Amino acid sequence: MLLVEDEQHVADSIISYLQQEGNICEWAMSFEDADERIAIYQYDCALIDITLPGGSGLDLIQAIKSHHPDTGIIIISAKGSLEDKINGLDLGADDYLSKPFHLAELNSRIKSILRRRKFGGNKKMVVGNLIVSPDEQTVEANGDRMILTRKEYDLLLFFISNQNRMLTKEAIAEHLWGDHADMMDSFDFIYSHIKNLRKKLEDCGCREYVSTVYGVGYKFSIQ
Amino acid sequence: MKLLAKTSAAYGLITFLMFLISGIVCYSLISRLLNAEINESLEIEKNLIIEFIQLHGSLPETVSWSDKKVVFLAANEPTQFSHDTFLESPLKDEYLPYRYVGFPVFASGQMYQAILQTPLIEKDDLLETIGLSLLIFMVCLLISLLFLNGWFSKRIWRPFYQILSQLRGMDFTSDQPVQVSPTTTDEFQQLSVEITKMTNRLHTQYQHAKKFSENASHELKTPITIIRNKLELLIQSGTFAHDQILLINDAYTASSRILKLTGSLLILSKIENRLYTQTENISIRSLIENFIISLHDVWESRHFQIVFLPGEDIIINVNRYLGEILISNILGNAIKHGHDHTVVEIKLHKHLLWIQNRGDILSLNPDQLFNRFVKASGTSESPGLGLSIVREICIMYGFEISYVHEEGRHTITIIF
Repeated sequence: MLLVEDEQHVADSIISYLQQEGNICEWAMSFEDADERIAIYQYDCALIDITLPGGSGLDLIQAIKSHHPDTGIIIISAKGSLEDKINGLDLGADDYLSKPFHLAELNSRIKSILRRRKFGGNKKMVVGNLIVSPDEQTVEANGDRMILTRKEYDLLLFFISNQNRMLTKEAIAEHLWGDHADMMDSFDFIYSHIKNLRKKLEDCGCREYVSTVYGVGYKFSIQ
Repeated sequence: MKLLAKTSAAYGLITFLMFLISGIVCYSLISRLLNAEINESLEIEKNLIIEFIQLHGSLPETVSWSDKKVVFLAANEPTQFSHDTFLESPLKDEYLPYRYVGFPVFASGQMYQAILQTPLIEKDDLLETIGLSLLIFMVCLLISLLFLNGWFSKRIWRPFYQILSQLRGMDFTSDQPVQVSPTTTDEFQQLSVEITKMTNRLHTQYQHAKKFSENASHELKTPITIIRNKLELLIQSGTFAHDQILLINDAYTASSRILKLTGSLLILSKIENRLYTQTENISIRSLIENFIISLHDVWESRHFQIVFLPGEDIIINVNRYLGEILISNILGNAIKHGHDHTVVEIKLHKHLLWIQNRGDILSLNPDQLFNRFVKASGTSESPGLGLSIVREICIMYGFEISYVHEEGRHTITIIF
């Protein structure tokens, strides 16, 4: 995995989070550095900041696409720079994340890209008693198809991407509602979604997959 | 009161006082002069009579011409006198002032009382003449003064009014410093120089302040992001007891709030600095529909009824990001402060967007609603920047935004 980011401490946190997930992560802090690495190595996924000392991240996307078209690309950019987003996606980037973001959110985006890139989205994910088919957006539990709402499905996938990790209410809210998460002062909505998801999981025999860490957030684990 | 009216009134008053004083002085001088003249001519006559008697030894003929008289009366004890009296005039049917001068003469062995009578000029006439001439003079002077004053104030004060209108039309938000046109009048030149200096100073200060707030929020963003990331890692690390995790989580939540705040401040200063230059045609209707769809579960869970009446769609040429913020902030505000189980109404009509929700009566002044850091309740977690961003966007694109509140109904209207 390649991270192109000029701010060292931001890069440190991201690398540390991704390494905990078992990824091998390289860091390039400037345009030249990144350009060199791209020419030499092949990465599964590249996280690219658009505004860099020495050049534009958009050129890096082009370079990656010409060397290794299979590399998944996530653009990291300042909020509101829609041009960067549109140009980047046009150049072949897979996803776009605006700063500042939650590390859990980044992790879930990377996982989703890797799934698509590596297995063409056809691979079913087996998580405990659950079988998730991302291309069909369906979930089976112990052989039964679970009926989930769009938000519940998103929530479950977010949990699965960040297994055994504490997900704060804010990170969940921003994952589910994006910028609109600001509109809701309270986290009651999350609670009701979690409650419904948990009940559906329990009905299918998946007890205690989602645990509550009181006052902080939720954790998904299959023990 | 206008400067012109003030000076004119002062001119008028001073002119009137001056003329009153000069009238009195004139009158007293002229009447004294006339008095002296009459006395002199009477003296000459008296001397002529005395000379005549000394030469001829007899009295001259008495004269009675018009109302001028010389009379000799035989008297035992003739006296010397001089006095004024009113007598009925033989010429006019009224009493007129006359001066009598009496003196003794000795002729033909007999003492005589000589009396000279001469008419005096009527005081009334004198006053009238002087007063009238002065009045005509004064009126002429006043008219010319007022006229001159008006003309002068128009010409001489022209640069002043120019400076004034330039100050009035001054816009600090523009990148151009204020230009004051040059004049030839020293005083106005000084004024113009000082105003140019002052406005330039204000303009640079304003620009600095704008830049500062943009840079400050931008520079704050990275360290706070780092703080939040590190706290997120700490929470994830799993090495802390629950009460410690709670402490870390509080710091994490607070850092998130600061991030949102700096984000909002950055948007505000970027709007003020006109940094969102890319525009495209955007349909308000689709913005609203997208918003309603993306927050569908929020409507439902709070049992809101959304009534959206898209009359005619409104297409605006704005920056897409700002357009999205505009709509999501106003509608988000309506949900945030709307009561559960109520209706939120959204209407589009011609150039008008109309949003109404039902909620608590506002504790703050409606005029302050769009100000920065104003929030309805002190406990609210939001920093109170959402609606000021909306206002800045409206100012930037020349939209008119207004807010009305009556009986728990809050209505925001935007005219595009």
